[in-house]
Amino acid sequence: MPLYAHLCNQYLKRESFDIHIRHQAGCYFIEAEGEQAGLERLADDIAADFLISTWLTDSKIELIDKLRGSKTPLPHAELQHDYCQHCQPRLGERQSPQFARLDLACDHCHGEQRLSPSGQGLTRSDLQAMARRLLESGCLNLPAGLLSSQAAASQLSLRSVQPSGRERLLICNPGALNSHFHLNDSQILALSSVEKPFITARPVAGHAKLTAPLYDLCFARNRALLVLAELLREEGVDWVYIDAPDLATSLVQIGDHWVEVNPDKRVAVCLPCRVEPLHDDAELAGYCARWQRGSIRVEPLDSPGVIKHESMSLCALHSVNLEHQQLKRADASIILYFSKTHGGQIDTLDSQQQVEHFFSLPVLPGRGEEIVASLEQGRQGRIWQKFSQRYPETVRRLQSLDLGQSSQTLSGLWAIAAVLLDLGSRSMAVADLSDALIAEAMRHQGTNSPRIDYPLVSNETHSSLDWCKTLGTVISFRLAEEGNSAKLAFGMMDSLADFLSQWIEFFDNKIGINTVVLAGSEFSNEVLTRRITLRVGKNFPLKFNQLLGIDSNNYAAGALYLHQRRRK
Amino acid sequence: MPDSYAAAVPNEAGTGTNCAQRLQLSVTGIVQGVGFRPYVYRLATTLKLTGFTFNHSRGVTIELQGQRVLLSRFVTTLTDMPPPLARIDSISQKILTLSNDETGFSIHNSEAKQSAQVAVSADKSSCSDCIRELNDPGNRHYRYPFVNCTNCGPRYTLINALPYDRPNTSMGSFTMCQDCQQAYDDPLDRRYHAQPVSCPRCGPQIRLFDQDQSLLSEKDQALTDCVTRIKAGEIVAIKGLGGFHLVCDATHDGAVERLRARKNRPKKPFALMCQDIEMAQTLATGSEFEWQLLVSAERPITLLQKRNNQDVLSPAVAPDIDKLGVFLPYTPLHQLLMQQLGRPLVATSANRSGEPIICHLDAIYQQLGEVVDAVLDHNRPILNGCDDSVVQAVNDQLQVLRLARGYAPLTLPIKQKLSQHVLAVGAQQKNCIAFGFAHNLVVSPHIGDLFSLEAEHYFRQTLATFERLYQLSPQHIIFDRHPDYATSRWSQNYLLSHASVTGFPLQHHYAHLLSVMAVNDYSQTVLGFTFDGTGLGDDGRLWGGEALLADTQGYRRIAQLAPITLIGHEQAIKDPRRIMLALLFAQHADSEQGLDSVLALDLPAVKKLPQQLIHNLYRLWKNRAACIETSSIGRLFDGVAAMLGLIEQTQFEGQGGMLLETAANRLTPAQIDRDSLQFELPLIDGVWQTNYLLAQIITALQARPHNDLTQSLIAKGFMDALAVAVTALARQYSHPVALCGGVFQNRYLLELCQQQLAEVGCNYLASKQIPINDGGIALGQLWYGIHQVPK
Repeated sequence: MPLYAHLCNQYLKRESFDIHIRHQAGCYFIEAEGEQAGLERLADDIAADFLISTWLTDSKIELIDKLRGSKTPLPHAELQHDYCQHCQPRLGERQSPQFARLDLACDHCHGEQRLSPSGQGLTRSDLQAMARRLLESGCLNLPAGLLSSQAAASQLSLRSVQPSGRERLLICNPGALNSHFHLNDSQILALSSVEKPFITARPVAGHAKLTAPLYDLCFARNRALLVLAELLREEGVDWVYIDAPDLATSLVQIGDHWVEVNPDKRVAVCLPCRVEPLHDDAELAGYCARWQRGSIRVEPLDSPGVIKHESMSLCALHSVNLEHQQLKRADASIILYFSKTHGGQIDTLDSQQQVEHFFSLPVLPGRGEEIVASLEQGRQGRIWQKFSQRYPETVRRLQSLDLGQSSQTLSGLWAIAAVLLDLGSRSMAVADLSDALIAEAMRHQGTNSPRIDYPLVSNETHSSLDWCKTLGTVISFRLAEEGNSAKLAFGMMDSLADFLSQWIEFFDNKIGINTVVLAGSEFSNEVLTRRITLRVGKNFPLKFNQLLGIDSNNYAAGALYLHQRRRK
Repeated sequence: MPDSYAAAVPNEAGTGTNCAQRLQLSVTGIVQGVGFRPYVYRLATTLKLTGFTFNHSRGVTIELQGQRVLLSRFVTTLTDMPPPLARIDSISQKILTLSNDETGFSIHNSEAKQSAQVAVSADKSSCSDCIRELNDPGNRHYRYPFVNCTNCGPRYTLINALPYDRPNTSMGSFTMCQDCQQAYDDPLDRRYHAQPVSCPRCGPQIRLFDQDQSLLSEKDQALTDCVTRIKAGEIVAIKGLGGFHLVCDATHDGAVERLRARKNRPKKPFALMCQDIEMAQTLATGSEFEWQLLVSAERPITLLQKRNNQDVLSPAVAPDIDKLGVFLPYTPLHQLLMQQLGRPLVATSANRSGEPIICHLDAIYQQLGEVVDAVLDHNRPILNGCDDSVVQAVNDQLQVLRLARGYAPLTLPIKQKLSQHVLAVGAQQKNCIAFGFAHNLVVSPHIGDLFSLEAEHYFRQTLATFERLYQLSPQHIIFDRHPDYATSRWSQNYLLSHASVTGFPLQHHYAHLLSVMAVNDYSQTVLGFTFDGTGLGDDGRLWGGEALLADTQGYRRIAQLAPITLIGHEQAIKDPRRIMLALLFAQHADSEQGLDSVLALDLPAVKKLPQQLIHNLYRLWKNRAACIETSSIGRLFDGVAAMLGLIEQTQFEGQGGMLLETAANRLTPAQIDRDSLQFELPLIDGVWQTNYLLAQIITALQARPHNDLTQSLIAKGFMDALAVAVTALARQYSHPVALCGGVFQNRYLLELCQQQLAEVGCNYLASKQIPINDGGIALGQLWYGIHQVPK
């Protein structure tokens, strides 16, 4: 957390107390000696200055016997944000005389020193003109580098800009957030955190304009956007669409922790590394990982390079063990790996570090007609016949589905289920249909739901799912009761979580499981993740990446520890 | 006499006792479907009074004319000796003008208008007259499994709407034969206006179906075949009054084991149906009071002490515990079945684990097709499902554990009239609903645990039944504070769609306490010990071991159990060894070696666990991952039971407590005198020091040989310490004491607390016919609600 290190250094300069600072094992310490009243004031200052971070796990004040910190400033990476809670009201609120002064000096964050080159020259009238342009033309191309990298174009728009896929919104009026979206307290805290991440949210039912099942929301992440948002809010605009391809995807909540799926592509990550890897460097999924004695640096590649490896799940597993310093421990672990782009596997690593590949998601037929044919010919043929007679339109819609690259993913399965449940969707794209099912599951109140079957089928090397039977139960429940789509959508995710927990228990009996590792972008599915966290997390410690993404730079880092020879 | 009688006779037209007078009596209470009007008819004609009577949605109206002295005798007789199943809540009188053209007394047709204010009667067991007819070869009801009269038979389970008339019941589709019609129309017949009246010629019949749904036999032959199959060790589903039972021969080991295996119910005790009290007495022991409970008109499942030396029953009926749930036949069908079978029968509600009782043949095959070998069905539809009630005697007082058939719907009269409808939706487990209107508080029969869609549906269905019967339109809803309870969610949704309705979320254990206050009609301050499983506290933590000082306006928590960690949340409830480990980890938290100290303990329950599991759970505990804390005494029971090696995985709720109670009851007086262990549970700054108590238990456990005697002594010492802690705190207050929450279903603990409280002179409020487990929550919520809403 560069900001926390920076603030510690700021406090070190205070002369009214004898202050020492320290950073150890992910914790920042400010140690101070003084009178009770003065220390209480100091504590209030610290509470006011330290912005909430999504990576903050705990904070407390303790009485200490002796000082362990030092007077040396903490090294830290370049700060990213350019405003804080102190300068935000002054430059970002319309009634302030310093409104829209992007170069406003802030004694706390010194954000004026970190303005992007494209933001540096912007005046109030420039920003007003930009807001006017957006309101008049419905679209505003942002200056290069203002939001994304120099190379990537970014824009704001009043209307939806993508024909398919999840839309991203910049919230201009945070006060109106709850009238548009269902958000819990931790999501709202995350939105206003120093990182200003995207957070996935479901719009309120029957919203006149927000008709997609899910949106990714963010607050203004720099001074220019802050002022633009305020100008738009004044004009009655509560949100605008934002298109900035190289920004990080939404944060995902696993248990009480936030994790990144795809971190900001512009940022390199450095990890401490006690166990020398088996390879000096590795390139995978658009990232390159390099070992330098004592650390591993992972950075994005200019070109995608090797996209996929047959052991993506194992790479993900190694990367989690790397992050948690468990590469050499004789702990047995199991990985639940479900990616929207690389399929889904369950692998185990026993105490001898022997790998067993237990499960792969089935390859679903790519085209709708093939899916229908499989359902017709399978053991659920009779029930499918009834379903076809009652819902011929649904069957026609299913026939037009194309799973494309998602045929071996949970998203693909969710997409088929969304069609079977006749859920509305912006398009027939897998991402949209999958979002529709997830949003429907989020709509379900309570935890009781029909049990959807996820029977295993085995081949010579591993197990997979009898997906026809899974969909067969969905169909049966739909036939049994109309209007139960939220229950069924939730049931699909909760039942899968339950099956997963049973499979893990089987392995626990077999090899003894110490840790369950979660990885892959399917964990951005809030309902599935919550149910897995509950059902599996009650029995086993859960581990996942937090320094690395769960479906991006983690692969390259983990690939350094793959036993097999890498193929380029 | 009920308090609400309008006893004063109004202004009189004449002064002499022989003067003629005409009175109108309006009677409320349980006065329909209980032979009330025939009784009134017989009484009026005996006293040579003229007039008429009729049912309506508020109760019964009687107009009487005759000599004043005879009218007075009528009122006295009616109030002092009402029909056996009736309960009069109020009688109001009005003097009317004399009628000149009346020659006799008659019963008029019912009037169906206005909101219902009459109480629906619970179903009652067969009366002795009907049983006599059932066994009389010369009677037209001989061996007819549906014989009934106004003094017995189904009520709630077949009613669809009020007033209680045949077309409003599931008997509406059966046309009476001439004989039945005659009895139905004859005010001097005990079947006069008995709505379910029928006979072999015109009424419902039984049929036996095979596992593959093929019809095997009908009528008497079906019963004979059914008995043959049971004797052969088969499992049969039998449709009764409020749902199906799964039955098998309780003396047949293989049959009972098979039923356990097929129902996936390894340990939870089964209830036993015995032919008569004599058969019951060969299997269990009991006090005079307990035998009276067993044979009472409600015919509840009564928990009795298992006879040690009996070798008739399969050990699988109620393994590991010293109690038997016994009940007697309560329908003619059960009577016939038991007479023919001549041996005890396992009879358990037919349902999938945790789901509502099944009432329809189709559902039996759909849900329990793999469990049953045959089904004995009948064609009288069950409109409202109703489980068997479960009771026990504590210090020779009734304690209802499950309020259902025979007792519920339970109507409690209140003095103050409610001007608005108030609905309380109960808890998540052992759910029932309660509502208040006019002078009534009504508690529904047991609905069950709302952990499945089926159960949630059953909850809504029961609510709809009462809405229909009473034209219930709540203006106020009280629900549990826990936002994830199905009932809370239902309430929130209801409030969203009904803007004028107000909602009151209420803390779970406070509601427990209020239920005891309600059944005692008490609204002043009480000291309540709420020893329970877990419920959401007002501070967002899980409570369940509290002492509350409360009245109907609020409460103050004056004591609580030191928190216990549940590793893996509810998984710790299923696996109490996790609670045991959390307690042990906490005991050794200050030690350098922590985990190693726990691993080194000479406790068989710890030694039996895989080290890897202990390591994993320690990591979860240490990192507070998937952990939650609770002050629940129910969970402390679980932890201690696990520590004593009595339990590993919880097979049914309250099992840990039952096993501790059984262990304590095993001790002989000599063993108690010689070896008794005394533990202390000190209260410091309002917190009962769990760690201190456990340290004593662990020391005793390590110091003594690992055997049954040690288990029993520790179990007793543990519960004794709780009772002492309760009494010590109660002594500090002058308020009446209430003991509530599921933990007080533990008879050993409750009896001990009651005795000790009596010894120190505490005024004790009993729970009477209201369950002290979560089944009482709805009434407690209602009691709170009616004290908040405008009168």
